[in-house]
Amino acid sequence: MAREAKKMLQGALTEDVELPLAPMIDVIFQLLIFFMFALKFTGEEGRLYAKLPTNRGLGYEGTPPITLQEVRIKLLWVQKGNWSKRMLPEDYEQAKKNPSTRSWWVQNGMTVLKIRDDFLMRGGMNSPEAKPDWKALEARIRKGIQNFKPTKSYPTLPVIIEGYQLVPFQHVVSALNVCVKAGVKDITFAAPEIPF
Amino acid sequence: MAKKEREELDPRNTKININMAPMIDMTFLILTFFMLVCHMGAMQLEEIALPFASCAQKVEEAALDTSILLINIKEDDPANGHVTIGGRKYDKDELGKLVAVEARRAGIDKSNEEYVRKGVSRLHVIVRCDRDAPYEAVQWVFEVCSMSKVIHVYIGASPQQLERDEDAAS
Repeated sequence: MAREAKKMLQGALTEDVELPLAPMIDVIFQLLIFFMFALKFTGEEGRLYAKLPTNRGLGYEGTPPITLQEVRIKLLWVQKGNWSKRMLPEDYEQAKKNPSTRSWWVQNGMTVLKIRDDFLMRGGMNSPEAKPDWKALEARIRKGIQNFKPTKSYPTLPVIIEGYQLVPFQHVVSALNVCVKAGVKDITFAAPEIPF
Repeated sequence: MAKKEREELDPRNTKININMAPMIDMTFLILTFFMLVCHMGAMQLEEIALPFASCAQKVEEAALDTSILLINIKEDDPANGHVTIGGRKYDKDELGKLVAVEARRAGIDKSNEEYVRKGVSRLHVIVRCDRDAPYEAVQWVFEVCSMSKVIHVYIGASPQQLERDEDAAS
């Protein structure tokens, strides 16, 4: 009996121990495939910092100080070929209720860039193919910075970006980008107009 | 002797052992690479064609040391009356409530005396909106941020201009 046990023990000691690698490799390949598919290469992404004002807006009390020197960039949503027909606040309210009105405005509308009474557009007046002239906007802002006289409330030129609801976001970002490029520090986004 | 040598040289009698160690080494290396490169946090980032802005700068969100709320706005979201946060859709009222809760949770920004006096929140909001989406949804975000005294807003933009961005400012 003792001899048999000794023989078994000897056999166990001399036997080659083999690790079962197949399940481990299976699991590793599964993980590898999962991570390979989960991986998504994204393009370079940046951010534009837009600090919202603390002296105006819905959450704050009081009236912001008035200055006539401010530059108000208007991004209007008008009818293609007829810039005098712009989307009024009541049109937007109607478009919110009626999807067909909204889709009409989306299909037949275009962005028009305006400062005071000047249209800053490349292409003829009322042209449906006209595009906002960002270079003209930059020149206008730089001129505004040069002529600006600092006040206690406004140490730098205030710029207000007023975009209509249906204007593509790219145009708003382009206007913001031009302001940042020109060195404007005081940029505000105007709240949408409220219908009477 | 010659017979024994012949038997040894016979390929039918040769035992083939595949050396697994280098393969496992390589597999582990590739696995580690994909595990490190695959950023699960990026799942909050929806696939969105961001607007082009040459002045857009890279911001390390992790370095901001504050609470961040990432709001995604796809092209069709404004027409459907919602925005997307962490894969869930929020309408304007729900967004307002969420921003208010997050702003309270983040606490008051003590980096500036004026901010403390006015109760400005430390919350940073990142808006990633599709370039072709109407501006209205971003206006909702600005509105709810203003209501909750959130002033730190970042706008997601791509510093790389595409060919189709001909009407974007360069």
